[in-house]
Amino acid sequence: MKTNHNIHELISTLIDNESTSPKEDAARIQDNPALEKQQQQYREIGRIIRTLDAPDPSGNFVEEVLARLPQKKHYNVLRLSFTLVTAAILLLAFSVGIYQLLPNKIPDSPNSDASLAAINMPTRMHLDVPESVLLSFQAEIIRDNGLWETLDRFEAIPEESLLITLANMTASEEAAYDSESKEMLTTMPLWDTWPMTTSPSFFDAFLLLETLNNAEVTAFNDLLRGSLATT
Amino acid sequence: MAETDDWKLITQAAGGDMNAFTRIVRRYQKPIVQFCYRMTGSQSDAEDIAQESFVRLYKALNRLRPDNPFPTVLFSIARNTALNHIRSTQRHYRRIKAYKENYPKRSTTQPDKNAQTSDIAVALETALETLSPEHKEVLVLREYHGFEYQHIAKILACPVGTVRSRLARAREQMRQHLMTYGKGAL
Repeated sequence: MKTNHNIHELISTLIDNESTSPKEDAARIQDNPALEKQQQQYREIGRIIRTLDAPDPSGNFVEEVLARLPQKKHYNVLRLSFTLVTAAILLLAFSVGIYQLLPNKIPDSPNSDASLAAINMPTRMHLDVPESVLLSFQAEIIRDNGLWETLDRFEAIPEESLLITLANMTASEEAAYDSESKEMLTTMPLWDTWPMTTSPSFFDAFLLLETLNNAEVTAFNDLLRGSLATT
Repeated sequence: MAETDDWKLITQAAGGDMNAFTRIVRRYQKPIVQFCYRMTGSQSDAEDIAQESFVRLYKALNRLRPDNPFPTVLFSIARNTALNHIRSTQRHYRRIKAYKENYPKRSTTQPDKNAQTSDIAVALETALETLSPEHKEVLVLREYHGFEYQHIAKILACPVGTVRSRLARAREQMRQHLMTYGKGAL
């Protein structure tokens, strides 16, 4: 059987001009009429195969191929947009998470009741700071501003002085904001640039205010109004 | 079949030139459709597989390297696509029937030789359908598309010795079939 296959292979490679020893193979076939006939039959099979009908492509073949191609550029733009939006959402969520954790680490005022302070926690509306500004304020900036060092220093001074300091700081920031806001609002949303250009002390003060109880907030607001009136 | 600027067009297509890719499709649509038809026995399947082959070529544009003649690359894609199709749909054993149904729809350009040629062609096509996909593809690539052994080996991703062996076995199987059922075809 193996010998037969070798003979078939010999004839097959010979008619394809792929034999490694064509002269010897050709001589071997010529000496055997049966092999010579078999070679002729192989050639005939090939000839008929080449004459077989086969369908041509349809008239709109190329157009159909082009229609099936993936839209690479659109896909990339969509994927890039999705990545950017996802990254922005993750950054936002991370920033909010850091921000909400911060007040819990700040010690309460010595005169306040912890549970009452938690229930009567002042809202951010006292400072009229847009929510979006706070959300866009990144944790790295908080750390770089030295918030914890600032808080440690405030703990060592009387409460009244602290409130006055806070009021003065806030008043100066409000004045700076009033002078800059007209130009900024005509060019871009306030919250796009404000956190990056405003003095870090304002944010330190604002975060500290989150620890005040209602009485302290009331006192602070009185001082703030007086300070603003004189500005 | 091989064109000297095939790889140049492929490079341009990889850079986003759709006209270059369209030229490649126009240039090779006919041999690829006919190869797929020989492999599947169905005109609609052949058209679909050929189109899918060009889509796969497009997706691989950035990974192609001009180490081999471009037709061997394209036929390799078409061959793999066709084999996947055959295996997934399990139509191999139903193709003889499809051939017999399709054959009367075809036309020939030489009416005088119709009767004799038709008988031989039908016998040969039936004989082709008795071959396994592995034996049929090597016979079609050699006899119908004229590839050399080394290029067939590239297309099939196998040694040249395997090509030589499969081709001899395919020819002998065809010969035996035609001698038995070929009504004097040989």
